[in-house]
Amino acid sequence: MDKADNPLRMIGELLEGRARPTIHPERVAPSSVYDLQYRIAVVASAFELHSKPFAVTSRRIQSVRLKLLQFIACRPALTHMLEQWSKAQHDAQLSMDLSQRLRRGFLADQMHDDVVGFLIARGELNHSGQYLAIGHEEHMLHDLHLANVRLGLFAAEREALQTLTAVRITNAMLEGW
Amino acid sequence: MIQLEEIEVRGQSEAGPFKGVIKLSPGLQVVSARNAFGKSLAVKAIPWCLGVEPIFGIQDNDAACFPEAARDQLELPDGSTAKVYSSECSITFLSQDGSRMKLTRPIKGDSKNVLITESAADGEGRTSKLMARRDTMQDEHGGLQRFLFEILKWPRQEVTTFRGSLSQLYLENLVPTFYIDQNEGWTNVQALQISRYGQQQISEIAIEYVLGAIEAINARVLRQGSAQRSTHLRETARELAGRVEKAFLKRGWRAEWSGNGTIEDVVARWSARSLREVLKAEANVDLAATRTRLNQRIEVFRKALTSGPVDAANSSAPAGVSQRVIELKTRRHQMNVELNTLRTQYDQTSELLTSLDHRIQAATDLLRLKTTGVGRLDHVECPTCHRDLDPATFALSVQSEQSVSSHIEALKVDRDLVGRNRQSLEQSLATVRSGVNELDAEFREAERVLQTVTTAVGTIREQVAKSAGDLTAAERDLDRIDEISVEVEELQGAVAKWLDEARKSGNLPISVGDLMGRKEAFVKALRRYLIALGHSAVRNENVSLVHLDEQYVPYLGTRRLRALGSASDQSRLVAAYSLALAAASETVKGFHPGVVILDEPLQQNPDAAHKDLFLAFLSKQLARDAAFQTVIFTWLSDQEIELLRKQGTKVLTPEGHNFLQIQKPDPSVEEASEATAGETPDVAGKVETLPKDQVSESSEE
Repeated sequence: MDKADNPLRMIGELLEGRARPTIHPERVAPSSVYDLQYRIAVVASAFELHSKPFAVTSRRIQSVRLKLLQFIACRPALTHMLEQWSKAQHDAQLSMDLSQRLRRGFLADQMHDDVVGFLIARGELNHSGQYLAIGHEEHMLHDLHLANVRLGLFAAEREALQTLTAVRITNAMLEGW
Repeated sequence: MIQLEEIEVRGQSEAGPFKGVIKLSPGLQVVSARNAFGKSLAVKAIPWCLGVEPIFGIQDNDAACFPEAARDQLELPDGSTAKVYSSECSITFLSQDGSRMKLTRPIKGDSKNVLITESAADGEGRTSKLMARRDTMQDEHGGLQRFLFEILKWPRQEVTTFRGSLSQLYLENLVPTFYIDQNEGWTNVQALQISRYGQQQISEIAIEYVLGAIEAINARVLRQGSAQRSTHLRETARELAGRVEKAFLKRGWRAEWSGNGTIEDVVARWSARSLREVLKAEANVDLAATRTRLNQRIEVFRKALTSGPVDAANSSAPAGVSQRVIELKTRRHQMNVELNTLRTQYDQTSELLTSLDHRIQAATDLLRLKTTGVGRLDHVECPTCHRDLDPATFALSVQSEQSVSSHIEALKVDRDLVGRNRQSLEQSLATVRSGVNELDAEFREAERVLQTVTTAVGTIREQVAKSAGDLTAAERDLDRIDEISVEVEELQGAVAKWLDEARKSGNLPISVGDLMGRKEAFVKALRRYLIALGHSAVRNENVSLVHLDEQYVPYLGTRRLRALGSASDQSRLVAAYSLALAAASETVKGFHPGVVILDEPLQQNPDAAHKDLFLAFLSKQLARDAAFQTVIFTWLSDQEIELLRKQGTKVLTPEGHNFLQIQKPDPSVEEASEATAGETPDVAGKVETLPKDQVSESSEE
């Protein structure tokens, strides 16, 4: 058998000392999606654009809704799929053609849960049943969103969130179905 | 060189005819008159009669550069005004051989033409009417500038434009070097230069022309032309390579024919192999061999159809044709599957690319966020116990700037990789798509043959029908190959033409003649005039550092002279530059007219120190003994006039309230005018305002 057709043999030969390893440190750098500041910035914009008035001076949002929204905002390419998913909710025929790629994926976003936990501990958000409401330092998330707008940061994420304001997200979708 | 001898403005108003005349002499002279006297009106007559009004930013034949007194309402000494019915102005030049040339152009009226009155030294003369602006340089019989260039023995000069075509050097390109306008002329050297015609490097060319460096201008034009040709060649090479690649891909051939790189690279690459050779080597397409093979097949089919033996027992024709249809159908199906796979891959790669672009943008924004500090939670404490909270407690991490930067670099590498992958997929798609199209055509052909064969009665007819079908298919293939050959030959012809053009535009022998000597003369004169005019940044100790750069911008050492000294030094620099250019042109026998007009040099900085410096310059030998004529329009006090006259500087002081004055109908004056008609003008240097009874002989120094 030709050597090229036998990758295991080829790797074996390389590991015998003929190969010179090169290190690309940029390849070990984690993605910015796993950065706390990035996630807080996205949560701030999601909360600002999608939360509803609550009580007299407060605002709140369903925690799962926030989870779904920030998940899409971090991946703007999924916006179109969410729109299709939303349209297909009441159309069994249409839902047959719909991609299954999104669905329950966002529910496994553990990092978002950690970020929310961090913001609650920091006092930025309050957990109130299935809702998240702004906490005692009520200006921090608002100011952060305004700063992002002013500096033109995370424009794609904010645009996706803005698009989602016109998309009907049902409870079934929030459960991943 | 010529001398400006007289400026005259005249016309008709409701108060009667009006007129104003200034007579000038050779050398340096100052025309001193109060503000609003009408000096600017007289000065504007010079560019107007030369037909160069575009230097003021106005339309052709628009007399808007003149004050209202010459166009609309004439101010009378008693303060009232009189409507102007018509007006015109004249300037008279005296040449070294004693001949005169008077240019007259209407101000209010039909200003499209200029009347030229020439009179030789012996008294003979002629009159001609020339177009001031229209085809002024192109019309060899009716163009004013064409006439002026010829009479001044100035060569016509072609210059390159930004559009790539050639244009002429016009008089309005030269006038800013010797005519310094009151309003804008003092803002910079050549401030009134016309650059809107699209002529390239016109300021530099104007200076070189005045210095007589025609060879240097020609070299400059050649260089510009060569640079433009190179740009054009690079563009056409890329366009041609695109056409070739498109033609190849249309037929599913993957062969590289790149137009990138320098012109030399492309010439070397395209000269090394022809298109046919590239196709043969890289796409395994030999058009000549295919053609030969098809011809042989056609010959065989034709022979079988016309004279070959037919076996009546052979019934395999329908089966063979049917088998071919099935094979083609299977192949088409496989190719369609491949096409669908490629389309999906292409869509997904595009999606991936978009996603990568987004990731890069997000990471870049995050880096900026970390750099600016917006949204950074440096100190996080528990609102209840007020102890510091570590993000790690929540399994969270804050990435460093270096980490984000590294991530961005990695993403960019990925994006390049994916981008190349998509490009490759795009080519594969084009290849497979063209293969499907060809297969479709072949399949339809085979189906038609099958239909014919199945409807034929008897084995002989079946075989004949099959042979006919095969022959038709082969002939169509041959036609297709011929079409392709023609297209390839056309492309090869375009490549050959491009190569020919590229080889011709090689290095040109360019000589700039004695430009350095002429430039050196200019620099020397500039240094002398800067010192004489009292430029505060230029002193005897550092004057040797004054030099001109390639654009003829004056520098002192490494700094632009324009940026040095006080604000009033700006007008000194402009005056020194214009006067030095005239002096240098005289030295090197250039094409300067020999007249420098400085309109209101003192108005730029009317402080006492500035004025004293200028008066000191006027009394210097350098200013007074210049071979060219210098006319300065300004206002000086009586003491200053007296001082200058004592020092030997000519000062002309026109009499009267205004330059333009109403001519009173006086029979004695009319008789005197008739008696003096045809005589030579008054003594040079006299300033005359008509009527003649008001002419002041005392205005002469």
